Amino acid sequence: MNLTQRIIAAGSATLLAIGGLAACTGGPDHTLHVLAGSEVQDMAPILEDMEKATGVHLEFEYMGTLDGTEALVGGGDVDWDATWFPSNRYLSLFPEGQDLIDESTSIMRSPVVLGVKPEVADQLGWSTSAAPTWQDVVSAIEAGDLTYGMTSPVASNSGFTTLVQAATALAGTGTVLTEADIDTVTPLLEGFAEGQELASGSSGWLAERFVEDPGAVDAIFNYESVLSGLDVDLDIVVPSDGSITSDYPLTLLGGANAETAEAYDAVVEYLMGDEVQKRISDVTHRRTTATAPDAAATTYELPFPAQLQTVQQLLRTWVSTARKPAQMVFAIDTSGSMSQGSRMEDLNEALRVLSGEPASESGGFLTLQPRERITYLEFADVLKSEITVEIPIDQAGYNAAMSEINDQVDEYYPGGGTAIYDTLETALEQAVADAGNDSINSVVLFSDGANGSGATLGDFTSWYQGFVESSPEAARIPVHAIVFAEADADEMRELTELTGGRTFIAADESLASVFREIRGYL
Amino acid sequence: MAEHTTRKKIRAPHIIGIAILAVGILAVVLIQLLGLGRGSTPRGGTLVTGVVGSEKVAFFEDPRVQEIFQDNDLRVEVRSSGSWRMAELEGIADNDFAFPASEVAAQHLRSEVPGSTGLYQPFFSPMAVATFEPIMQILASAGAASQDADGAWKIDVAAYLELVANDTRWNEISDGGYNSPRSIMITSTDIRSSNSAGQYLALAAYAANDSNVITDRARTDELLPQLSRLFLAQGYSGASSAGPFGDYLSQGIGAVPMVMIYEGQFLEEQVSENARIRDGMVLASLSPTIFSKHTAVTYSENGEKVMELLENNEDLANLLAEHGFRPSGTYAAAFDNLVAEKGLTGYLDTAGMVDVAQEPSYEVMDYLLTTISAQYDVAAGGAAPVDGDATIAPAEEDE
Repeated sequence: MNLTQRIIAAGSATLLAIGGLAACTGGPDHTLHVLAGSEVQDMAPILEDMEKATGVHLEFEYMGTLDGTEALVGGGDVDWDATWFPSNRYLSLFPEGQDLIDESTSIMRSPVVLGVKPEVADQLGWSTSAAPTWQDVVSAIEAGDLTYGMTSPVASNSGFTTLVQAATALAGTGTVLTEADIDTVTPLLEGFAEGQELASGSSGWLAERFVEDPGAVDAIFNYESVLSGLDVDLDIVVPSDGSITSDYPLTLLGGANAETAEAYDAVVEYLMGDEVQKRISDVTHRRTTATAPDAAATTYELPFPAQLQTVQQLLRTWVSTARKPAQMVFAIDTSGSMSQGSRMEDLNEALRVLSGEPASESGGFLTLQPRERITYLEFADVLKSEITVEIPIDQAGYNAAMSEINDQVDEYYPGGGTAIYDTLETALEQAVADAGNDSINSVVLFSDGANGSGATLGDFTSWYQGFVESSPEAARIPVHAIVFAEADADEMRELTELTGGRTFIAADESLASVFREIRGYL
Repeated sequence: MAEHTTRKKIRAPHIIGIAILAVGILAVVLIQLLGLGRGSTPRGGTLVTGVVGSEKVAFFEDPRVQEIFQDNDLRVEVRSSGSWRMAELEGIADNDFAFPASEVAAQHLRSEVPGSTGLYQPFFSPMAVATFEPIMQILASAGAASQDADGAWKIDVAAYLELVANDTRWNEISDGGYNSPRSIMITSTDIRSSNSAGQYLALAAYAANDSNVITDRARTDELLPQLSRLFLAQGYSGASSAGPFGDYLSQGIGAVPMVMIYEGQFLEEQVSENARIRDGMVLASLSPTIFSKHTAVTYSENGEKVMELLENNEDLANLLAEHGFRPSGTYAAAFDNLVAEKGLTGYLDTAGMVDVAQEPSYEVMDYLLTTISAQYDVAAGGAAPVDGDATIAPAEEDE
């Protein structure tokens, strides 16, 4: 470089540096729209400082890993600049998924492991140094010595990972799971599924429920990081034949312009800095570059399938054959206020998540599955219609069941008041009547307004306490609430806290996407 | 020889990082004025463009490398492409050079695309295995590895393939030392997109064929199940930029006991400032080994000038060594000197590498790659044609 060039270079460097400083003092000068798993919400304090340092703001939209994959490969417009899911594995199995990824960087890692109550682990003789195999886990379940909670493999990455690692280890081939192995492991997966007593659509909520109601299950499958951060005494058990680690890749999607790509670079550079990596470990309990790998091998990483059809066949087997079938009672408000705007159309679209054409790209695992049982209670101030359908295994029977449901819900019309709690009492009575150890039971309330007639929340609370006393199994039937339009979110939160369910707010996203989300909890 | 994925679109490197802001504007000005900075991109000189395998991008973008070209009135700009797809790139011959990581790919390019002016091999990279001391001891007990007097490990590829063919599990031969129920298997990058996995395939094909290059279709078909398993049974190869070598560094022995790499990846990590090579991590050479022969096809006088500099400029030779490449021109000793100077073990003397496998012909290699790649999509509706004439090349080279 001659002197002139040096001066030019120095001058432009100065200008760039001033530009960079300006970015640090003002508001964010670039926003990246990120489709992410709710798992990364615990990064908030670190991302706040990241924004101050880099001038890049991350605007999140949260979705489950599999739902997010469908959104990306489903053929619609991809409005996001980046994704940040616990893993890109499923996405990468789709040819479209590979093309979508421009660049990805693993920011942190956490394996999915088993958190067991210490007294149960003692009884089973399990500890970190005496870890069970996956076969031991299945045997303990079959002997009635272990119950657990896990998230839905078709909705949430931790449940998905749990299923893949269980199937891979149980197949015992020493290598990757293939489609041909699935028939062999199905009976073992059925045995494994017997132990599930708690369902969830997200790892965070699963952990919360476990802490709130420790009597519900003996153990939960969750990220090592989530389990380490819980305020309860738990033994963390990694099955000796291996687990699968999620690597949280921050991923730049294709088609990014130079400015977006630069913002992505700045975020990655910040997050991968030595001090920030240390901080991520401290705050989130995940492993980072600040966490040295174990010198001696105590746990092993299982391989993840490389073929899409293997994963889809495994998920299909899980939902239609292995898992405890869901028994659901949906209480659906079609009061007069539902005539406003497009509310009835929105409801109809949302109900098709369960009974419509399955989305073909991702295998359509959210629709109703064989062996499941669903009751629809359409209500206003009185019960307006009622239908219960058991979903048959054979295709013709399945199609007939879907037609029966759709014919019924197409008849829904808005009119009348809103008797939420009267209807919920009916719903719970029906749910309890069919509840057993071989199904996952739940009630879902959909409402667009406040309770207007019949029992109040206070009345319902007293009724509920008496009901649970006389029918203890009712305590294991959560009531989830979907808050739509003018529904009273605070009151719904009280209701779901009382019954161990979760409140879903349909405000920013479509009602259908809330139904998709809630499906993971059923 | 960075293992970072290069982007599908090559962007201008961004010059200003957070670090520079921290140092302050004045320091930036001073450093730039004094010519000490490495962050500036020299401008001027004749523009020379090249298409290179992504494993060489970091070398060409190293400001010290650019400065040497600059001193010779050349401004070299590169973009990356998978080595096996260069022949299909439109207008490849409009560049001054194309630089795949495989001799066979370069020869194919030369025969397919007219206009080439020369063929150069200024440097090469032997393949090697990043692994752990205890793992090598287990393999040694099974007769598939040995240690020389200096403590350097060497893997007997044929014996290793035998272990894989017998579906040997780690816990069957480790005597409790590594109680994994997984099959013994080297992890590699994705065979569908990466040249380093392609080199592994070429090596395995040679070793499985009793140290002979496969030449005919019948023999290829016979070995295909065995060769396919080396890749398909690994499962998902990871979409993360760090790749399996990154997993090896960060997750350790339980996750990735052995990973196939260019030896230079290990060296580059060893000599870097924040080296993550820990106690017990070792580089094992392969017997036979295989060289990724970085072979340039030139299309202009300027392209030739670049290659001649790479062959004959001492500073460039030293920089090549620092990036983990072994120069083969005038200053071929640069790599051995660097290894000696840093006191590193596990790197064979260039002269001592005599047991070297050869890549099969382009047709055989293409058939192997196409057939194995297609098996990832079996029954998914997107099966690639398993036709030997199909020139389906990996979509993207990822390290």
